[in-house]
Amino acid sequence: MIREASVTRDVPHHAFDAHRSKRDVSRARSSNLGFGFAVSITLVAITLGIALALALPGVARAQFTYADPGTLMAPSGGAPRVGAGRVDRNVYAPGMLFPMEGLAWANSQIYGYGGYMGPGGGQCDSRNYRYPWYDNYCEERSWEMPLCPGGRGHQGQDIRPETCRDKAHWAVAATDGMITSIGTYSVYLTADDGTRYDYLHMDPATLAVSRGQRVRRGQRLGLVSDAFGSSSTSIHLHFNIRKFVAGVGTVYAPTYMSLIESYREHIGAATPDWRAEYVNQTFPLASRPFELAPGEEVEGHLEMRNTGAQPWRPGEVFLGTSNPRDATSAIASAGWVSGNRAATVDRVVAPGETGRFVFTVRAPDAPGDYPQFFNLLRETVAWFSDGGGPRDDILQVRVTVVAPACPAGLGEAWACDGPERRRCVGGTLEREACAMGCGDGVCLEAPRDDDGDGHNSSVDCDDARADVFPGAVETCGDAVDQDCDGADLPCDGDDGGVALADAGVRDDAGDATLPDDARTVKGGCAAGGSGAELSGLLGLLLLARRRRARASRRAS
Amino acid sequence: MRLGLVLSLLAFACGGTDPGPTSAGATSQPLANEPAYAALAAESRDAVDRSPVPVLLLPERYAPDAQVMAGPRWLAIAYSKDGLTLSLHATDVAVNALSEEELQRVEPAPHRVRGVPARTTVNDGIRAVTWEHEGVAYSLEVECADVLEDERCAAPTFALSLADELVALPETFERGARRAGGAQ
Ligand SMILES: [Zn+2]
Repeated sequence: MIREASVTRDVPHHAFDAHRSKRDVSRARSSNLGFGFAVSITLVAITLGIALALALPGVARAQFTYADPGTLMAPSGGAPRVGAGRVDRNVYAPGMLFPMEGLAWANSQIYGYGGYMGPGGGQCDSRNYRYPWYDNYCEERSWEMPLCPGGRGHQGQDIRPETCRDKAHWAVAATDGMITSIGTYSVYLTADDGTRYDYLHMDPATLAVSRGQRVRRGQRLGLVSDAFGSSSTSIHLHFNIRKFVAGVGTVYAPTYMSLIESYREHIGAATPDWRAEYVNQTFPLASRPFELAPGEEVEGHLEMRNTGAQPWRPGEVFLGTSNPRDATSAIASAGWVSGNRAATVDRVVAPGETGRFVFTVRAPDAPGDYPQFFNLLRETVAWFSDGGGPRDDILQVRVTVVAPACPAGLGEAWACDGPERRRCVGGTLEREACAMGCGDGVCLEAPRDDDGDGHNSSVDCDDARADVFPGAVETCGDAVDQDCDGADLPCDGDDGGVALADAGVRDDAGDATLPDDARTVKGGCAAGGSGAELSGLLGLLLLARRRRARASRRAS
Repeated sequence: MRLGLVLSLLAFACGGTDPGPTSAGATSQPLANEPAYAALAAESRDAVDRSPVPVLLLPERYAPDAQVMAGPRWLAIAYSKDGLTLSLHATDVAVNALSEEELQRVEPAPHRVRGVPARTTVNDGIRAVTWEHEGVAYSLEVECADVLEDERCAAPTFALSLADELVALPETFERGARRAGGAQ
């Protein structure tokens, strides 16, 4: 395979056509750089072309190579421009017959030798008649081409015949069909499915078909020439595939991969070293749902048959991400060889045998669709799609990540779940940790101590007053519960300043009972120690007797 | 050649164009009453009858030298005389070759013919205009023997006006609508 240099060069963006426009033609004529508007083929060049043709077939058949689709030749013999055209590996006319007899050389008529943007020489220069092939779909032109980068470019593919001899090589029907138009330099062949194959620049005087005629695949149509109405061009076949592409309409479809596939067949190319056929996969086919929860992992495998000439060895042949190649996959799991190599083959697989690629896919965290194409490659040597196939857009694992269903009863309102809270919005479960605990679906806040009295709001009964907190000195009769025991302390002068704990409750008869924790009486009259407890108890008894007497007076 | 251009432009300017039915409900009239159809050779008229897609014919002045052909999924009309080659091609077989993402990047069709968006291009001097009508893609191409000097190929004007001038055969449009499950 051709490994294209990654160097690209800027190409002038002005509009020009390989063959036409008054401006270009007059320029070509005046500069004498035109390649075929006048007959500029020298006898020497013709001789070279013939000699080359005699020497080439065996070599050419064995050495067929081609630059990647979308790689265009450059002005003045500069480095080919990778990706300057349309990078499209689709075969738009699968099964078609190569449209020319003999060997053929697909390349540019303007950037090749003899082309007015080429490195010089004449159109019959032997360097125009050798591999690799170059795509020239979307080569710079001024007219609209919706599928080209920038929306403008050359249609179809220019193909030089085996030699530079004019009217010596037959163009043939790529398919069964009908000749639906013959112009002064065009012949259109329409297949049953509506695909049209255009042949331009054949010699009109020697056409072997007529309008309305049904032709068979391989039937001779005409001789490749330089016919171009009242003008002329280089000796080549300009070949189009005209198709109705959904969403765009009738377009000149990319022809390059269809030509490569048919040419391989045409020249009887040897079995490619690296080729595979799909056998089986445990992952659902891309057309079927393969729904996983975020983070879920599934192991599976893909089985491929070795239809190439070389054995596959673990550590050499891998399943890599493709279309685009080598992109890090969103569904890669930790078990992958790398982000763009899902697995290597499980064992040595001889030609004709089937190998397995075992790997695990991991669903990304975000819900969505994650299609991933794969292809086989012999690391550092070739992608299988560059040789015998499959194409880069065939093998696919397509993961759809769906959010887990919400637990029953959980709606959009937050609900506590232990130290966290949860809710479900639009089918998505949301969780929130509550550092201070959760209550009624609300994350509790940390207690505060606004008054700075050393007691936070969870225990301070008035967090705005620094003199109020549990254990503060209680002042009787000020309507303030300083010690946060639930009530102010009443004052009683007769009791000689004996203070009673506020938390005492009365029975129906008005008798006071003492709470267990209220036995320690504090205040100006209080004293610590067991002696104080005893005097407090005495005071309590006195108070109870006096209140009982007061109550009986009120009742009478 | 110049006369042809003048004639067609005159027809265009004088409202002689037939934008064609944009709905399949156009009133049908016998095909024989349509001059562009009546002037066709019998073989071509047979092809019109067999057409799997709605038929647009070249204007009457081209009809005697035009040839209509029909295949299982396509219609083609060819005309070639006095250095002018016209080719109309229509098919309803579409290939899904582009992703949604790429389709969104494709520039909208910048022209209009027959009341719908249209594209033009040039293929080695051959002018083309393309458009769609109810799932059928039409393409009209204009090729000139005098590639450099013939104004019909030097600019898209002629191809665009001729596309507008094509004669729709309502009966075949109704046939197409019936085939597509239309309610007409
Ligand atoms: Zn070309």
